[in-house]
Amino acid sequence: MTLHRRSLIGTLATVALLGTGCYPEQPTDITSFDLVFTASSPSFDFANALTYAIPDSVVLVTGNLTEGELPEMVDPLYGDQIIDRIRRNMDSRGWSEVNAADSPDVIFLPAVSKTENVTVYNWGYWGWYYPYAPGWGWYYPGYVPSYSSYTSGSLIMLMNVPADVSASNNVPIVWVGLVNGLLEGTSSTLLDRIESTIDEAFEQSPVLKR
Amino acid sequence: MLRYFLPLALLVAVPSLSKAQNLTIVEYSVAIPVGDLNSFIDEPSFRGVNLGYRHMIDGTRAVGIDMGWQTFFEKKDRATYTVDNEAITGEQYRYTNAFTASVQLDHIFREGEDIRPYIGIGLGTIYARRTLDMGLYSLEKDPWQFLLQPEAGVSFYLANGNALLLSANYYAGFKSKDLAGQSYVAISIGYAFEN
Repeated sequence: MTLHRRSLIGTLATVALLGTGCYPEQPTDITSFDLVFTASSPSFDFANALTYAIPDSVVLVTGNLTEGELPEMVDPLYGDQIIDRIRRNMDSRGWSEVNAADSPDVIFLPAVSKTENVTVYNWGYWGWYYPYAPGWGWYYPGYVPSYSSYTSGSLIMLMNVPADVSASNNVPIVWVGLVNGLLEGTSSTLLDRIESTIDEAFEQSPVLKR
Repeated sequence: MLRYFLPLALLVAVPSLSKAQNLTIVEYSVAIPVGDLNSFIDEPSFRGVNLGYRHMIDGTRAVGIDMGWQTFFEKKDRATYTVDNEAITGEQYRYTNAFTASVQLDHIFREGEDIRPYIGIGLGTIYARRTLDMGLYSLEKDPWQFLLQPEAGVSFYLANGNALLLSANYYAGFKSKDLAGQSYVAISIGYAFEN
């Protein structure tokens, strides 16, 4: 064996020792992919907001709706769980739930997206619930959330202030919560993850505590 | 002949024992991140390899090139990270793959001895590919940075111009536009073959 061959073999053996290469360990558990992001408006006075309203259903974002088209709703098995968990967290933090027609300080709008790379879903999703004229939009007062887009498997929770509609007919979103993860696993596992991640969204948002 | 450790070194085989003027070097390295890299990954790396080549100018000086690859990794348990009015909770998988290439100039001491210390300095570049995976998102920065690579080591001559090497290298990356300098200290063991 020549020295050159030995050199080559030694080189290859050394490289082989590195085994798995650039990324030696990656997530293997489905919960490892669960991500919870929240952002809040620094200009909104959360301390003086006491009441909230929330719909009884969670809309399913499937793309941009045409005018007058009603959105699909999330399976109540999951939708009810989402609504209930949000209620529990809001109530335990001193908020009081009221009807949407009773001038709540904030309205909590939960939506689920299973589509890929939806950047923004439009206001039309809430025409069936929100007691105002169509054609409105929303904006983020005083901040821009780092995560303005989401991928498959997202629960989007938007808290807006119906009394502060801007001159351009935009409703301010003063708090946004985004839960992102893989829509896989058994229903019980998924329900557990929904609960825990919604809880995390509230835990990491001290501004929501009364 | 494996008798004792003969001089060796990166740089040189003993002229009286070998006519070799060039050496090929293969090293395995363990590294400790420092500076900004340490702030990102606070774990040692056991995944490193270096390839080198040296041309002996004379019995005490050598010039050549080094190329290396070191992989750093750290998993951060599920935690909440807060910045201003934003917070994010999740597990983090942090990776930095550092690829280096440099031109090296070495000075060998104790010419003709079996055990030869040496020091060197290198200039080149480091391609630091930093990846942060969190949930389904992945953030990446991959700057090229100027690299200064001082080294010190000792060679143990084996036979036929071959030698074992033990060395320490400081890979000092310099700040680039979007990332602070990526630096680490590597301890390497290697083998040098005469050409």
